[in-house]
Amino acid sequence: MDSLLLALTLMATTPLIPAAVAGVSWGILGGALPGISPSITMALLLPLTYGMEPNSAIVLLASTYVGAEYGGSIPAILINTPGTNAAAATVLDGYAMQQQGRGGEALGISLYSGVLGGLFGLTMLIVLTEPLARVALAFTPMAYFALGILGLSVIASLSGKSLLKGLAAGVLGLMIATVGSDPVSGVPRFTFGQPELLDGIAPILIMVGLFAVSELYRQASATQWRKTGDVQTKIRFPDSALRRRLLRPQLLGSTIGTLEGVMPGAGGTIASFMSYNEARRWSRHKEEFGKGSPEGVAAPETANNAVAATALVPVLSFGIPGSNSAAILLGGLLVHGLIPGPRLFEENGDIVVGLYAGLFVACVSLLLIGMLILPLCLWLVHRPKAYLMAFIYALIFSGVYSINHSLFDVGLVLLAGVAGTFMRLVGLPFLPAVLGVVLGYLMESNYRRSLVLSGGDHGIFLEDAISLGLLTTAMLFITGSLAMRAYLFIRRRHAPVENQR
Amino acid sequence: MTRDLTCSAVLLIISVSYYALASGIGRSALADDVGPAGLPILYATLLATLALALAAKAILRPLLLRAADDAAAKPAPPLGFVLRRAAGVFAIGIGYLLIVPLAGYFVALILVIAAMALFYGERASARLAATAIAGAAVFWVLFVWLLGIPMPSMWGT
Repeated sequence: MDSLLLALTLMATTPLIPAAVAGVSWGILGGALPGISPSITMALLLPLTYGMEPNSAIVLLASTYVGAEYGGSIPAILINTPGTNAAAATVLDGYAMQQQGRGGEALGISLYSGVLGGLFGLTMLIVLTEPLARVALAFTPMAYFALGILGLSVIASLSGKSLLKGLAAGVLGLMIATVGSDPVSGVPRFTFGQPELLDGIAPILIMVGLFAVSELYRQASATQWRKTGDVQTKIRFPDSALRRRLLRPQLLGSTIGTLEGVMPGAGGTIASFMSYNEARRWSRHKEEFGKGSPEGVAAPETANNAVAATALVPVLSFGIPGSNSAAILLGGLLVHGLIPGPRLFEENGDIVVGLYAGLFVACVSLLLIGMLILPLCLWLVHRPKAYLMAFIYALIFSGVYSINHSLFDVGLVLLAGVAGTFMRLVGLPFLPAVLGVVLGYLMESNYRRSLVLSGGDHGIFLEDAISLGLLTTAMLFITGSLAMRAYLFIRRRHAPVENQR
Repeated sequence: MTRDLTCSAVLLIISVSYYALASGIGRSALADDVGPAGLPILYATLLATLALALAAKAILRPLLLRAADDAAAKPAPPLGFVLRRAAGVFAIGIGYLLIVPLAGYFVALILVIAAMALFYGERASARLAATAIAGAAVFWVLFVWLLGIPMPSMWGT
C-alpha cells in the first residue's frame, strides 16, 4: 500500500506520465522503422536524459524500450518486414492476414496482446523480481547452449510441408551465423577480407532481405493487387469470442516471455518463436497457422512485450544487461549515480517504484497511441502499389543504412533478397533460417565455452540441472513433432487417391 | 520433383563450397578443442546430408505416394518473367548503391522512388516527380533531422 501511495505521489509530483508517453511514442516510431533497433532508439534519447531528474529519465528510457518492442510488429504485419528481431514470428500470420484484407484485425490483435503481455510482464517484474533473479543467476554457458537447442527444436513445427527443407533452411541460418570472428579465438571466418563482416551479419539484415526485399522482387511480377475498397482500413479489436480464443496463446506467450525475459541474452526473439510454436501445438485451429491465424499473431506479440518488462529483472537486480537495450538502460541508471543490485531496492526505492509506475503508464499509453497511429499506418499501406513499393524500398535503404552507417549492409540486404527469392522458388521456409541466424552465435559460443570448462567432456551438458531440463524439453518437442508428422504421413498414404490431390 | 532436385543441387553446391572454405580457416594458438572450423564443418556435412536426402525423397516420392501433389500448385506467372522482374528491382537497388556516394542520400532517394514507381507501372508525370521529392524529404526529415543518422552526402562531403 505504501508503494502504491508512493507511485501515485510520484506520478503527481514528477513528469513521469509525460516521460512515459513520450518514450512510448518515440519507441513505436523507432521500432516501426526496420533497422532502427530498440537499442538505437534508446541510445538517441540517452544524451537528453543527462539533465532530467532520475525518475523521469529512467521511465523515458524504459518506456522507449516497451514502445520499440511493440513497434516492430507494425511493419511485420503491414509490409512483411519485421521492425525488430522479435517481430519475425509475427510476420507469418500477421502478413497473411494483411494479404487477406484483415490487416486492421491483425493490428488490433497485436496491440491488444502487446498491452496484455506488457502488463503481465510488469506484474511479474513487481511480484517476482527476487525469485526470477535467482533463475537468471543460475544460467550457465551449458544452460544457454541448451536454450539454443530448445529454440531450434521448434524448426520441425515451422518447416511447413517438408521437414527436410525446414532443417536445411535452419542449417543455412546456422552457417550465416558463423560469419565473422570466431567467438573463442577471434580468428576471422568467411569474411573474404571484408572488415564489415568481422562482427558477423546482424540477424535483422537477413530478416529484412528474406522477408521484405524478396517480397518486393516477387511483387514486381504479381499480376493482381487488391483495391483499397475490399480491405480493412480501420483497426479492429477482437470481439468477445475471439478474446476467449486468444486467451490460451496469450497465456502461453506471457509465461514463455516472462521466463525468457529474465535470462540475460535470451531476448524476445526466442520467446516469440517458442510462443508461436506452443500456441500452434495447443490450438484447436492448427490448420490456420501460417495462413492468417489470429492466435499466430497474439502469441508472439504477447511474449515479446512480456520480455520488454521482465528483461529488467537482471538489470535491476544485478546490473547484468542481457541485451543492447538493457545495457543502455543500465547506462541511464549509472549516469544518475544509481547502482543496480539489491541495494538499489533499499536505498533508491522511490526510483524502482517510479519505474514500475512509469511502465504501467507506458503500457496504457501504448494502447492509446496505437489506436491513434495505426489507422494512419493502415491508410499508408493501401496507397497505389507503385508508390507503396517505391516507399518500402526507400524505407529499407534508409533503415538498413542506419544500423551501422554502412552501404555494405544495404548490399547484403539486396543479396539476402536474392537468396529469399531462390528460397521462395524452391520452397525453403524462411523462419527456420531466421532462427538459425538468431541462435547460431549464442549456441556456438556457449557450446565451446562449456567444453572449455569441462575439458572437452560433453557430459557437462547433462550434469547441469537447467541444461538437462531444457535439453529434455527440446527432445520431447522434437519427438512430438516427428511423431505427428509420421502419423500424418501414414494417414495420407492410406487415404484414397483423390484426397492426396 | 524438378523443384526439389534443383533445391537439393544448390544446397549441395553451397555445402561443398562452405566445407572448402571452412577447411581453410586458420588455427589460432588460443583455439579450443573444437576450433573455429569445428562447427562449420559439421554444418556443411549436415547440409550435404539433408541435400542428398531431399534428392532421394524427390526421386522416391512418386513411388511412396500414389499421386503427386505438385499438380495442386496455384497457377503462377512464367519463371522467366518472374526472374526478369525481380532482376529489375535488384538492379534499381544496385543503382542506388552506385549513385548514393556521388549524389548523396536525398537525390539518390528521389531517383530510387521515381525509378521504382515507374518500374511498377506508374507513368512519368509531374505528380510522380513531386511525390518522389516529397517522399525523399519525409525520409530526410525522419532519418537525418529527427534521428540524427549521418546519411551519405553529395560527393562524400
